[in-house]
Amino acid sequence: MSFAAAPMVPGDLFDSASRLAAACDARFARLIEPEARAALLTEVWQEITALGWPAVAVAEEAGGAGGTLRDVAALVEGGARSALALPLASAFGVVPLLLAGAGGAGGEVLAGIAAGTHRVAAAIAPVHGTAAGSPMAARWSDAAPRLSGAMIGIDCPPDPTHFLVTCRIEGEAALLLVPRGDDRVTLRHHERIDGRPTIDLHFGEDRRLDGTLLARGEAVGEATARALRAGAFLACVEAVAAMGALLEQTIAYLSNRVQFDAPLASFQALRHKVAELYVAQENARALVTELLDRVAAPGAWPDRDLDLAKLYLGPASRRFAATTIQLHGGMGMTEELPASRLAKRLLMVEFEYGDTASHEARLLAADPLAEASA
Amino acid sequence: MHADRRASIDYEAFRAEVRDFALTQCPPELRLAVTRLKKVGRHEMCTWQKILYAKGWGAPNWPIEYGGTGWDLRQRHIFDETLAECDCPTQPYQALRHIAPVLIEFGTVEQKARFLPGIIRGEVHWCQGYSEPGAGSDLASLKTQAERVGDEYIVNGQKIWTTGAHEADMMYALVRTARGTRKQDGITMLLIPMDSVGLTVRPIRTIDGLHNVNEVFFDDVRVPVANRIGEEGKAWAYGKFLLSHERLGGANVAPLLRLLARTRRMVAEEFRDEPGHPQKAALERRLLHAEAEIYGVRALGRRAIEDIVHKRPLGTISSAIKLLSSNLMQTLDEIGLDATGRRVAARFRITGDDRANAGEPGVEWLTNFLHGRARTIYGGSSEVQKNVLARTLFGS
Ligand SMILES: Cc1cc2nc3c(=O)[nH]c(=O)nc-3n(C[C@H](O)[C@H](O)[C@H](O)COP(=O)(O)OP(=O)(O)OC[C@H]3O[C@@H](n4cnc5c(N)ncnc54)[C@H](O)[C@@H]3O)c2cc1C
Repeated sequence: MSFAAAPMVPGDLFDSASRLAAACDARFARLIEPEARAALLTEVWQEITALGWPAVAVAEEAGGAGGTLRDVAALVEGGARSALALPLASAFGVVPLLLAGAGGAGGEVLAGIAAGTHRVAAAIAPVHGTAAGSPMAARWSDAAPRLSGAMIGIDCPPDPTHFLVTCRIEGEAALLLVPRGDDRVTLRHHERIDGRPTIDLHFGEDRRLDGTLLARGEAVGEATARALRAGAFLACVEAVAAMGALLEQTIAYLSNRVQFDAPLASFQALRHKVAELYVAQENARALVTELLDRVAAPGAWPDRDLDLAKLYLGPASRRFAATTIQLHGGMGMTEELPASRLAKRLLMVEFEYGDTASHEARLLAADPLAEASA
Repeated sequence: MHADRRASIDYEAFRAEVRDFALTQCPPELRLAVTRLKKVGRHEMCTWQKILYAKGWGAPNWPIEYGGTGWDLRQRHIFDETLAECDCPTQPYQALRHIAPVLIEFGTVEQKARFLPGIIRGEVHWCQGYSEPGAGSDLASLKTQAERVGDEYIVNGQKIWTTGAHEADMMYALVRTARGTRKQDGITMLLIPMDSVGLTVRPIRTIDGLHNVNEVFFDDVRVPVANRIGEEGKAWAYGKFLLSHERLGGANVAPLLRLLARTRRMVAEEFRDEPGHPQKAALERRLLHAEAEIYGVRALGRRAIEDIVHKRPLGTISSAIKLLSSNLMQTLDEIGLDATGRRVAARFRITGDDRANAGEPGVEWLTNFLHGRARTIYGGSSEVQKNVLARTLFGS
């Protein structure tokens, strides 16, 4: 094989995540029953916890390793090369950023995450939406939050212990911590199209959730916005990693598959499609690599550029997935093929942390005549 | 040592200095021509080149001994980027960026002394005579023949698509001096004065209504052997060296960003009285998607420059950049057409008694769309770039 995607965040974290994800994928592909897949993911999560990944981006004073978003990106990138069906970005990137806005109360939860005793899912807008026609609504009642409706499709580690719920209550940002087993909240479980576990939280009608308020106010609002951008950006990192691995596999497949007495790789129509995939992938890789540096640098994040990156990567990922499925012919339709799982991972990108329409709306509302950035 | 020198350069101060010069010294009518998407030819390029030369900035990409500025690659990039941001005309690129590097690399001392000064001063205008009716993408099948007689070559044949031949003083041409087993062998590069006896230029009218390209006919044209670059029959290598220079042009995304900003303003203006028009919102969304993709090319371009600075092989990056930037230009051209087309498509050329008057405002977007189709054809067509990429990706 003559094309190998270069890692964006090379190093030990990337290597170990790539290895773990590849091993997991080899087993995952053979499991047909959802229960068997869930059991495997639980086992792999234990392995991940033993490796100390949950502590990577937790501050040192909370017992973590004090790493940065770049370290999380390294893990996420390695995992995505084999479409690892676990929420590394959300659990290790988004959750710590959310909790950073919750002061001391957040610190305790972070310590639990770093110690491996807490497995926290983040219900973060706009991942939630409507479920069966009931959008989530919230109001205060004597300083206690009252919630109605549901938050759905939340990225969730296996066997979660807590749910972080972000919401706006009468104009104020609030962060709630709901322990698993709280019977005021009903759960529903799913797998995403790429096999990752997700959860719906149903609050019913005007459910009073005493004792769940972790923090409220401006700092929570800012942390939520930042966590959301980080989630969207890490989805971009995953997209580029998945594209690179998928391109490698597509090239290998076309080089080996013989039809009309010749390898498919000899047909120009297919070669050109591969060249187009390569160019799209290189462009996305350059864009995300540069943003990784800018996010790691001191100072404010380049918010508009991050939004634009997600806007670009969503549809680009879908096109990439569709083309690679086509290039594999019937094999592209099979669950068994590793490339198919990467393609399904890519199909998900567009819907994570704000879909294309919501990004367009946000960017246009901000300043439709905005000039090019630095 | 190298790193130390770079660390001491204040790139932002440099950018400000270039910007100030461009805004105060580049004649406003030249910049307006670029802003209005007007044709840029010899007059615009050479007028600006003379001003840059007087400042000592005539040829930043040349070695200092021939008039280069001694800037590092980043400064050169900032220079190109800033001039484009200010809507300055391009420099006479065929001369400065195409033939001059070949002269500097492969020319004799005498040839450098003869030709480089006219180029840097913006006094001698050049055109590129490569393509022929039977040799486009497959350039190596070129047939224009040069036969050596004494200390002259006698040239017979035809070139086509020669940009600016009608305004040029000199042509650098690829001609066939021998027929070998490989068609890449036996090709020679000659520098041909455009006023040579037996040389005829015939204009080609292109779909955009402009006259930029030409046919050039050679009928027993005599060219001194002293005008040959390098060895006889070895020019394929020189030509490829030149093309590798041409392709990285796309690493400068300033023209893309300028066109993006201009298109955005035009869309706002075009729909000023119909702010709720669904087409307006649709175009604005397409502009956002294009912007995001342009930032990718910008990042790729920066990576290419870092690769050159650190002497890493460029590999496939220049083909990727050429494909992306030409496609993105066309995407913007298309948005321009979609915004104005309902008004101008049916009013492309003004006829009748009003002919002397200016055409319909906004018609330049239509011209630009038509003109821009060539971006994916010249400099190695998109299909040819994909062939090149695929060969590397599949290893055969
Ligand atoms: C505006 C303009 C300015 C130009 N200026 C100059 C100039 O100054 N000097 C100069 O020498 N030339 C110039 N050219 C010529 C340019 O380099 C050629 O047009 C180009 O090389 C393509 O050759 P062709 O036009 O013969 O097209 P062809 O080679 O005939 O190609 C026709 C179509 O087939 C495709 N194609 C060709 N080969 C393959 C293949 N192997 N696989 C798949 N698809 C293929 C091409 O991509 C194209 O789509 C200019 C052209 C234009 C349009």
